[in-house]
Amino acid sequence: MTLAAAEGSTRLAALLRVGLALLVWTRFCNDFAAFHDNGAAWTLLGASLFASSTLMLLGWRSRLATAWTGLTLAAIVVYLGVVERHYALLHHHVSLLMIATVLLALTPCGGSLSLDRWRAVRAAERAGRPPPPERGPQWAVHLIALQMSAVYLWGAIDKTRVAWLSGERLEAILMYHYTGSDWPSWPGFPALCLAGAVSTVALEYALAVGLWFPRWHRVLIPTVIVFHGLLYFTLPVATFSATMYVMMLAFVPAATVHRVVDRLLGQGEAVDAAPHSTQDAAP
Amino acid sequence: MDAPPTVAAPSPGRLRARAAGFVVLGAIITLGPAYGHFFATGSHEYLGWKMFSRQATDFCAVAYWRPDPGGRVPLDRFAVLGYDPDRAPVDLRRVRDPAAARVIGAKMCARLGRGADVRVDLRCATKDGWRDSPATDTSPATDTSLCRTTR
Repeated sequence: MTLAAAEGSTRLAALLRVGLALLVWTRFCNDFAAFHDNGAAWTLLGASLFASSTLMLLGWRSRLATAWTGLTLAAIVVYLGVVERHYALLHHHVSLLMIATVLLALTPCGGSLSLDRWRAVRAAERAGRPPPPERGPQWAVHLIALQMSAVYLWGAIDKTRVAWLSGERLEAILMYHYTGSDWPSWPGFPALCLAGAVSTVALEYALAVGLWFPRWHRVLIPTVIVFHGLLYFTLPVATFSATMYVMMLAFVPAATVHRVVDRLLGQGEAVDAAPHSTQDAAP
Repeated sequence: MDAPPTVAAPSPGRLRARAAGFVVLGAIITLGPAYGHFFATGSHEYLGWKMFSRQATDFCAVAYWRPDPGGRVPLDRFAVLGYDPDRAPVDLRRVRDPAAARVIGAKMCARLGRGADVRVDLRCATKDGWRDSPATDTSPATDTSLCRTTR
């Protein structure tokens, strides 16, 4: 029950909301623009996605808008991807964005940096009360962190086999994208692929577990940034790396995020001191 | 301004709902992918977090060559067919399968003229790693010249 009762700053969930909404735009809005004329289903789902993600980004009825965006993404994956077999909509980066958005709808993602917050502050001012604290339950934020862990864990399990650990799969992937059917003339190519394959699996297992320990963040968070940055730069991963960057926020204690935003704004509001706070537990 | 307002503590029922939601969704997130990874077949085989398992599984690594008394002499398919490697058609740069490799070999035979002998070492990418293709059978007892088999 401690986890269910844990509350903390809503700024973390708000940043997740803004980041994921922008990623939804980046990944889908061109594909679903009306001028493509792909049929009624595409147009309707596109209109739904444009409207819902805009409200999600602005933070107007934030949780509802985020749930609407998540359900639209789910409809896109299930109907257009599974039923109509548009396989580009079944890629991992699409599933990850959809799941993260659905989980975000369970967080207090409108409590900060949103029109919802703006309205709450104005209402308090009119009533002569101080603005409500930016606090809310954190249990669903931990689910987003758990989802990121699961991606690393199952990705590592999938690669724990001879074809990957021998470096052969990485050889094929790099050749496919860089040299085509010709064996690369780079010196040590097989050794490089072997080292890359083994270290990738080791890193994924380490991240699946290690990110839950804040004292390892100084090492693991820069490692995540470099690892996904390399993938982003060298392979066609679409929005996968960027989505993992945004989701990584879920591992940072909410109080830390709050303090960082305060410092950026030159303020020092002590949200941790709000009454009845249970804990700002690290996930 | 008054003191900071307090936040109403969640009711026990709400706390129980959150805990149940966490357990159920957490179990789905953590254990759900096991289906795709261990039990799924057919079109479900790719469910789960199998990044890179499907990528680069529809092409072959090729090395064309001709036999010579001194050993093998590599043949550059781009040079033989008159292409700049950087501007060659994608299906020449990335040979799709053994049949496509044989078609390219046949074109090389035609460009090299009568008496040419073009052979190919072929390994195709699969999700289980490289798989040697029958076209790599270049033992002396076997006639694998792509020129003879395509005329």
